[in-house]
Amino acid sequence: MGMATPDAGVISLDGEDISKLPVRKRREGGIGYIPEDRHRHGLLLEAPLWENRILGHVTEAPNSKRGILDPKAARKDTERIVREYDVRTPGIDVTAASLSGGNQQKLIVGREMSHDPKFLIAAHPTRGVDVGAQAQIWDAIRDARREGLAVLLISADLDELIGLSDTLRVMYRGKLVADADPATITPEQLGSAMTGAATGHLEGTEQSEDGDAR
Amino acid sequence: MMKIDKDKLIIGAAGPVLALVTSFVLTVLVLAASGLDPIEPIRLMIENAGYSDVQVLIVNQTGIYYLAALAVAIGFRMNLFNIGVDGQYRLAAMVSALVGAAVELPGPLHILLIVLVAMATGAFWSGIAGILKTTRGVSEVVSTIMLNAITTSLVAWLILPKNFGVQPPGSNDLTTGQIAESGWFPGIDMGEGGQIYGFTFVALALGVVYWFVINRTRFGFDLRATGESESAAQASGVDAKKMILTAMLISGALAGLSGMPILLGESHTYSLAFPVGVGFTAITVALLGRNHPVGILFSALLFAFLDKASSNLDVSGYPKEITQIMQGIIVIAVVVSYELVRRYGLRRQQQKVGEELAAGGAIKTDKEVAA
Repeated sequence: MGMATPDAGVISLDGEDISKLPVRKRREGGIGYIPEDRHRHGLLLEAPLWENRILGHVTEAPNSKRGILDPKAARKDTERIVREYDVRTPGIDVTAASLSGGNQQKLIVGREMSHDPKFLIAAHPTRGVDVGAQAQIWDAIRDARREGLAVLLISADLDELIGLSDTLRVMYRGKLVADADPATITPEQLGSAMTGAATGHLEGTEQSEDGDAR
Repeated sequence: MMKIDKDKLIIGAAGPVLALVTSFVLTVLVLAASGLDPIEPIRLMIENAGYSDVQVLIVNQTGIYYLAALAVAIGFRMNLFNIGVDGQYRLAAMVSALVGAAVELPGPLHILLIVLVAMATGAFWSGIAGILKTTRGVSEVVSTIMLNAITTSLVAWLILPKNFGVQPPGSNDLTTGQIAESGWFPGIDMGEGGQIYGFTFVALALGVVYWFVINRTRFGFDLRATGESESAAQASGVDAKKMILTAMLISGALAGLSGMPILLGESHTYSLAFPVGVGFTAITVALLGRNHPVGILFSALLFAFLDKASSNLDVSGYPKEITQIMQGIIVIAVVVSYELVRRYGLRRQQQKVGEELAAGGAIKTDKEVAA
């Protein structure tokens, strides 16, 4: 996302080198981001929902025009997100802190999907979320994938990884150690690779050296 | 467009009211404990405020506190504590008085020049703290306190007759020379009461600008986001260093402006008698006003009243220092009561959301709507 400086390698989006771009430029360039820690990186807990809808996208429509905020449009769009993503709330003026974790997360997912991302980074998107919200978030990610969105799913939830991914890469101690096909791999195999016990292609082909896109 | 949330308004007002009541009660207790009539001085102050000349003094002082408190408030909105407003205010008043006395220009230009020099000086002085923080991580609290001390020495040195100071004949005072009449800001004549500084209205206009910038611009949103959660703001794309520096510069420029009502409206020179400590009182004013332009206006008015209406309590045998005790207690009471009210408000809202959801008050989902 541009919050940490990479030691080596190049990050490119749609063929354009974005390694040196600041966070805001990357977001404007079409990266959606569901952060691992929604309280620290995803929300303003004491701000109302509609302001949280602006967070991270303050320079984009419908939130602002030529540097001036457009609260009316932002509020209207927040209501749409609340409806479409089934955020259970009595209104959009309550603070983010007063929602449950699952509803906070649905708001974030809805927000990040609302700016036509080319690429979505979903870090532990359903961690600490109730079962109902988990299913809804999975559906949202699956739907977006079907429509052609590239998703980098980072997770420690084996079912989530196997259920959502097209291809799997396992990182262990900062290195890519294994890859697998989610159609055939078992949770046990994936789990043992995550603890470093199994390496290489878990079905027998060569190890890939793809860079991590973060 | 936005409906006024009655609940929010009550909770918003609860903090200042609680703080004021506490400080009032404690002040009365202090007076009683020292064997004085606790009610009489307060009655006297209210009586004083009935005189037109005191009223003018109060209005003029309000404008000064208002500007300085806006300077403090814009820092507070992003968790920056600019304690250096007082130093920025004094240095800016002095430098702009020097420049103003040195040149002669047609009216509006002369005033504009003085105002711009004051803003630039204030911004320069606070900018030092900003740069120290962004490049070296020096806490702005420490650096601005230091800069206040440096200001005191710097001003004292600059105003020496061998440097830029002028000693009016037959006086012990030192000044920076008189600004020509083209550099005086016209005031409103109130007859016997005196003159209301014209710059007071500039201060009020800046309150409106402040509100707009904070609440309606991208910059203001980034600023508030940084104040509420630095980590979330950074993840949202706010450049923290740029924000800190910008906020410090704006704060310093506003601090520089707070010397303008007196300089352009009355003294027309910077002298040893120029009021000090405005920037410190402004911290309390901003705190009490919850960094909101309307709140600050009321708290500036209150502090101006405490200052000006108490000035002749001595004559009636009451220490006028009681207002300082009251102001001091307000600082503590404000901090405590705001935190209490904030926690209460959060808890209450969580409860309310829970109740409303349980009662089926949630906005309908699209499935339900479609069905």
